[in-house]
Amino acid sequence: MTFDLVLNGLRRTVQADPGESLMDLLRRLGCKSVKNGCDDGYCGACAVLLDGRAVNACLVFAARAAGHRVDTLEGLGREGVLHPAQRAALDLGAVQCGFCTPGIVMTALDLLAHNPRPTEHEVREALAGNYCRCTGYVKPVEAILAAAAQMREAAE
Amino acid sequence: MSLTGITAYLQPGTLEEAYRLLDERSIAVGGGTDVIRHPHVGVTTLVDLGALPLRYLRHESGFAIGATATLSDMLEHPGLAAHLEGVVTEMLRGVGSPLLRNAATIGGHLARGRYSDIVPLLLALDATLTLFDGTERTLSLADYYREGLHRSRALLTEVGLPPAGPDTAAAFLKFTRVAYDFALLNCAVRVRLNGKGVVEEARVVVGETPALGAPVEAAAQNLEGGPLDDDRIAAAAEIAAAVIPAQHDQRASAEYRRALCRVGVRRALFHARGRLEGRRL
Amino acid sequence: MSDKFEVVGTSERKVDGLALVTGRPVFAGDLDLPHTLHLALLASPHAHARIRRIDAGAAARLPGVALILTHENTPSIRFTTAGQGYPEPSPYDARMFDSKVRFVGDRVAVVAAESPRLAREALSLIAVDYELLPAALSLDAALASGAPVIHDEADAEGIWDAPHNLAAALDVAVGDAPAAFAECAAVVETTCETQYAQHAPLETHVCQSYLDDNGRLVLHTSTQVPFHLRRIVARILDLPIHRIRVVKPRIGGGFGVKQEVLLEDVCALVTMRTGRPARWEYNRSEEFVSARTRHPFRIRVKVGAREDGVLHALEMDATQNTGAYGTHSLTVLSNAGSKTLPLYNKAPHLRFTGRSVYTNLPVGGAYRGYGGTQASFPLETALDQLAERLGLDPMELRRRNHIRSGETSPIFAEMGEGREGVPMTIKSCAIGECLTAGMEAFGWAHKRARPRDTGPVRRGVGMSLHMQGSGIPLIDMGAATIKMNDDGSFHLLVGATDLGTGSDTILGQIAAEVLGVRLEQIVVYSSDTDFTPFDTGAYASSTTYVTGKAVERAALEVKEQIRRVAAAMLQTEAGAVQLGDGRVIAPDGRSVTLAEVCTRAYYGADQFQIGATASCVPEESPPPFMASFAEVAVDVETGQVRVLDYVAAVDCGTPINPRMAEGQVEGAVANGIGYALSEEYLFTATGKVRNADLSRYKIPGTMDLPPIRVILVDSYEPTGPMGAKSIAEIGINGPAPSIANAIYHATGLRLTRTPFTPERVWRALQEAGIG
Repeated sequence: MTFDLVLNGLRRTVQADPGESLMDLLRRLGCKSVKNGCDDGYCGACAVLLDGRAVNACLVFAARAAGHRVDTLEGLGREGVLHPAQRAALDLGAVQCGFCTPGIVMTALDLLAHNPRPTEHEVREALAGNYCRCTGYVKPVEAILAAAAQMREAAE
Repeated sequence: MSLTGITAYLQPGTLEEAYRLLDERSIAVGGGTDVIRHPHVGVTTLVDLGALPLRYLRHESGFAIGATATLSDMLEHPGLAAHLEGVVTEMLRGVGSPLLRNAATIGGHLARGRYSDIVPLLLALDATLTLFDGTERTLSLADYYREGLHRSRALLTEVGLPPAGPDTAAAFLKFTRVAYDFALLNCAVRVRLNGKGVVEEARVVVGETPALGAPVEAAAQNLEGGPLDDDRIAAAAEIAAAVIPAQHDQRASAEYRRALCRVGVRRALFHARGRLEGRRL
Repeated sequence: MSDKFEVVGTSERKVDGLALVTGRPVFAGDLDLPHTLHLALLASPHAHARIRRIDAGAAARLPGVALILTHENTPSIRFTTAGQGYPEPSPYDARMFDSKVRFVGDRVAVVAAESPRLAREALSLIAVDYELLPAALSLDAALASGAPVIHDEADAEGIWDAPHNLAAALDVAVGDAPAAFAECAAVVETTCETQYAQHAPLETHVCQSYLDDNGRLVLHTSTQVPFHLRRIVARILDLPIHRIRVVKPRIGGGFGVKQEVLLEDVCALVTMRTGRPARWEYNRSEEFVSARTRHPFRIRVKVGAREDGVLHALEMDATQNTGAYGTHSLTVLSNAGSKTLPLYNKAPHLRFTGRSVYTNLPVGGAYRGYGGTQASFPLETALDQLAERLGLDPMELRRRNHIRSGETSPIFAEMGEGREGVPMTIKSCAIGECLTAGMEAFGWAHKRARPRDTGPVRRGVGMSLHMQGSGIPLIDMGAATIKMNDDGSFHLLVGATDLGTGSDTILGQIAAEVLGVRLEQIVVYSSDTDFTPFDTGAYASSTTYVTGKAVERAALEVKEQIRRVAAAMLQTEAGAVQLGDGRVIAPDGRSVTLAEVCTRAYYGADQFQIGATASCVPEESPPPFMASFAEVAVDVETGQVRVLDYVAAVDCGTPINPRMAEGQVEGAVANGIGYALSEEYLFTATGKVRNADLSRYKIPGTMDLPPIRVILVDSYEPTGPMGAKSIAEIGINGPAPSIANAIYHATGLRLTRTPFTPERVWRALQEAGIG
């Protein structure tokens, strides 16, 4: 089937099998940041924004995105300038192997759009569906709190 | 995981159209998060309900929740968060993950009819469902499962939660191994007291036994007609532990489930009682 | 110690971090090559069977299927899949495809087809006729007399005693431990059992192979051991090593599971036979079943002490379940003793006996901690019990017995990586500070003194002490090449394998430190067998200590060359000039920039490429040390255990990059908590894994873990680059024993089987009449 969606701000016409997952479609389209960690909705490595809300792309039918907005990590940061979440992840050692990073950043974007002043507990709750095997979550949580603080400062 | 063997993905614009499309080779899809993980044998067509005006959450005297409202929609609704000291949000916070809740719909979840924390609590709250199968009708959630309607073509359009008076309290809890986990067992309770502190109406629902949540009538009846004191709570918990259809599976043994049931029903009732006491302060 | 450094000891950003935070396609699975054939595995449904017949005709006729591989059309040479140095200390008991299957999940056939979907479809058309054999589905079943012989092939090599299902065995004695227990004031004996667990890296195994423009085989693969891989594949395929190139892109986690030749041999063969790129990627279920696991162990520890609490005799008997193949069997078995016993070197009488047993179950492999993890549990439990028996605080018992700087243990010489070891005198040991700093940060004294809770939720605290190693002495070798560029920057080429650990970054920091430049001036390129010098790879916590030393040596050589060129430019003595801030400075203050130096060396006068290659073979394996502290809350009505607080105080020598060093421990501890509380394989009665997915194999998420606190204590290892040792593995050893000891403190319940799942704890509490 053929349909349109807005991918990282650009309207695209895409082709997909009716039973295809959004994850498979996005990777096929070249969005390799969307990672396949389990293809089962547990690890969160495939998290993308669907109309601004973080979802497991492996759990969403590609066709469901028809007419909707999808955002992946490829669309983040403008013209070589990193988003605060990316910068904080780099600066605070939150990235080890980096495989979980895209999913965590996209999930964090959803959190911060709806809660610009999260507590540590709220950050952990928001990331409950993003597994990381390298960091023990310590520095990723710190990085998101730092990014939130930076974004609040920038908004003032 | 991408499904092979699907030949059509349809997005009807009206309820009638959607219902007409449902047959042995097609299945309704809300968020699709369950269908995509558990392919149904012989299904070649997916009927996405996303274009229907079913994504709403109205707070009137009770709540009317449209079938394609996501679990996050429910979790983030301030009225629902305040209802009965937040028992619904307390339960939803343990369901899946934020990522899952952003995509999964209440209708899709209820139609699946298994692995549920939501069903026990909604049963305890006497939830109703509105179905469309050519005509529209409303029935209790309990009857929906009792009549096997979740396996029928009937389209779930709305979930209703009745209003709760000042002498009603509810509680929910689940036992897991890690936080992001299906329950080893879950318990939902609701009690309504009269002016003299006597339990007039009680609901005790236990789920993941591993069967889908079901009311434990004997335990509830035991609570009714007396005060909500420690002894009567313990007795109700004891009855529940004895009568639930506990079975052994990969997650837990039957014996352990009964032990959890005894603890869970007791703790849930204590929690509900604490909420009632909290209101009087 | 690290305030004398400029770059080392600083928490620099990862040199490869930008690609990772921007989601660039840098992982093995992100490569899309035209005409790729996709591979799918037909795995054995039986735990033990002979393959009587394979009929792949129907599958081969399916349009789009290019090749089907079985034992009938593939090399029969035996090898080990273990990515270890040659000659590998693991038995050669595997074939690419065998005519016998030895566990549910074993290779039967691989299909190469135009799409992943077609490949899987073809699997269902392959008809296999099996002759079922009795299966040994436990240690006891495999050891019983009359047990089925799992490796009865005539051409296996290096199996200790195949007819009795023993892949390996060890017997090490110092003094006479059995007799010495009679002389002890207190003796404690405990037996612990540990479970099958898996690394669960977020990226499963994935390999792509193709022929380059000159017909050479390229393996683009998620591996921890590029050079071992090249050698082993060359041998299996009978290809010259120089016709193979192994490239490691970014890896999405390994933790040991990628220290193995798991997919590459088959991928390579498909490419060689078809001329086309081949791609094989395990799905999550295959990763659990058909990759590698942590070896389950049954370990009995007996420990005896004198009146004054000093250990007199220590006995460890370890029975290891190595699964269907013996990869890493001897070495993990050996490390169970060599990474625990030396820690308590006061005991003159030591005995280690062990055996590695084949079973018809999933295969054990390398997994962070490598035997030390499994053995720490019974040893630290026994010591906890001994402390109680003697009326000592557990920390005090450790203080009276731990090894110190200037001391040795006979175990260093007796037990190496499956062979004899190498004697070593400890030159850096900050255990005392680990214990002190850790207990203070944790609040040990007041938490330990709390009266026992009596309600349904009971809190308790426990501790444990650990060591690991830094590389394999006299066996590992790592090399580094540095070449200078005409803008004053350098390329650093290392075979060393960054699997997300950040080794590219810390090796760059070491080079930058010696050369007096910022990290940005070092371009690090790693793990490409065509361009980078040899390295054994990422295992045994070796990269910082071994490759780091090679980098330091290479940088020092390059520094000397720079000085000579600069001295000629400045017309002064080479020995008198100093490097710093990207310049070379003469005693009188005149200087030239590094860019000027290299421009002259490239184009000016006496031209030559400023550069050097240096190697390091370590002569010892200085252990990092760790004191681990855990606080738990046990719900005695349900058996649920929550970790409330966790502190790890670590001596890793100089932390080259403190933030990254912390990150290593934080992640290892989190993994260890999962190992202690929730991760385990469940099997059917016929040996099939029941929970081979993330829905049913529970790894910890954000809500399951406390904020893990890591303290890096001050320490300096004189034999290490800038004083560094290692930190990669040790963190994972702490949680199981610390948590077990904390559960005891909370409830009086001693648990001897991991993981401490709610039901297991509940049953134990019931049986003990607690709660």
